[in-house]
Amino acid sequence: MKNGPDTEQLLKWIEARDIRGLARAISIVENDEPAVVDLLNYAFANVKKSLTVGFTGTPGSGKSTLIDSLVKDYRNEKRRVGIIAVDPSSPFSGGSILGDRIRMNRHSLDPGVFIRSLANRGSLGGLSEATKRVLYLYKAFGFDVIIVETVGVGQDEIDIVKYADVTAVVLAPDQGDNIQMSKAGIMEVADLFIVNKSDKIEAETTKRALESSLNLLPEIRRPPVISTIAIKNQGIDETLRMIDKVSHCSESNSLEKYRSRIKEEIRSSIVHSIVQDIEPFVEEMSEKVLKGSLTPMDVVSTYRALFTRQIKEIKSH
Amino acid sequence: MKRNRILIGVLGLDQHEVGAIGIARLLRDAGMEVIYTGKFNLPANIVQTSIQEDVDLIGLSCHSWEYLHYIPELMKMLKENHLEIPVVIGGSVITRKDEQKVVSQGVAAAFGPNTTDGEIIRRINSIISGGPGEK
Repeated sequence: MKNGPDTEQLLKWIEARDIRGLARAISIVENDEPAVVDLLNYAFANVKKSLTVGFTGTPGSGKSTLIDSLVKDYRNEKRRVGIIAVDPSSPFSGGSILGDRIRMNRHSLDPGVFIRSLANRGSLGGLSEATKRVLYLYKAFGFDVIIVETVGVGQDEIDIVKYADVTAVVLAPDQGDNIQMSKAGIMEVADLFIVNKSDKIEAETTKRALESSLNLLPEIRRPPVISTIAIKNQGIDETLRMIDKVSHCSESNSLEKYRSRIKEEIRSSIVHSIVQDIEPFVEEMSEKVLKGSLTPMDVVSTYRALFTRQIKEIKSH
Repeated sequence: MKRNRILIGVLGLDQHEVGAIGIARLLRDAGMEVIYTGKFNLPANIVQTSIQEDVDLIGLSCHSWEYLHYIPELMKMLKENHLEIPVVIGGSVITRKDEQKVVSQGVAAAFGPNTTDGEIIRRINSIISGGPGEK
């Protein structure tokens, strides 16, 4: 059984940009080990300037390959890159195959690139708590560019927008359905659309359908659409330039965005904490509901009454 | 909640990936998180990946001679980097003699032909929690 180094050593490593510190800290915050509080407080107080780019899009759109090419270009500009690659966990076993980094293997020996694979551990309702925490660690460690590659299904497509400076949606033409286009919310909040695998015949149709949907937005809010062939390294330079351009444009409302992100963070961290704390209560109450002595709504009322009473007790001190 | 993180990959020019994919699925179904590194891995990138991903175990899928060549280098690199990550190998070509050899070089377990799924999972869990990797 691994006996880890203490928090003090980890923070020393992180300050010295030694990846051992970052790697171990990520495990701690992901697994909710006791040192999580100190690590996240340190991270919050030591956030450094960086550009956070979120990539989302359905599996198979070529996100990882695209990111791999983009990283090469970032490295040519001597920008240090930190990548968080999120993959789904099996709802049955809770395990996961984390296979995003296989497409970025050529960067595995580059000290200027750090890649960590995370399993979303069942969080379909937005970015997992772990991903948000790891993002803080990355910002404290210090990277020029942080790339978050999300699973690309469900609500996390919208959630990433709150945490990234630039959010890019990656589409592939062979995915056929235009349902992707009309998915509530993402059309209006993404900063950039990338049609990958543009050598396919359907690519032109996909691009035009996308652009006509986007034309419904006022011109000033219309996100750009770029065509790429990631596997041939085409359109990558344009993508890099566009990400930089978009990030500079959005700086004007960055204070607003920061405020809403902090609110969102507090909200989700508290909810995450509550969900863990109430588990024994949930177990106990479920039995009562199954026996027929309470309805689910009764349970909620009981909880709220308890909670209100506790708050009153705290206030009266 | 902690889950075991296992690196699974194929060494050198060994082309046989099917076994590695099979093991990755087996471990996932047993509730583990598998960092799948595919083919064309060398000790250097296995070590770097293991550090970044803070893995609990390295599993190499072997269907060619590469492991005999690369294991000493891998064990040396892990030691140089002060990494106490157990290494296991598995594959149909592993003979009893190979097994003895790699175990003497520091490998925690070698899963040769006829190893059952259950045995792999049981022994991996045991090795990670600090127990013996014995059959």
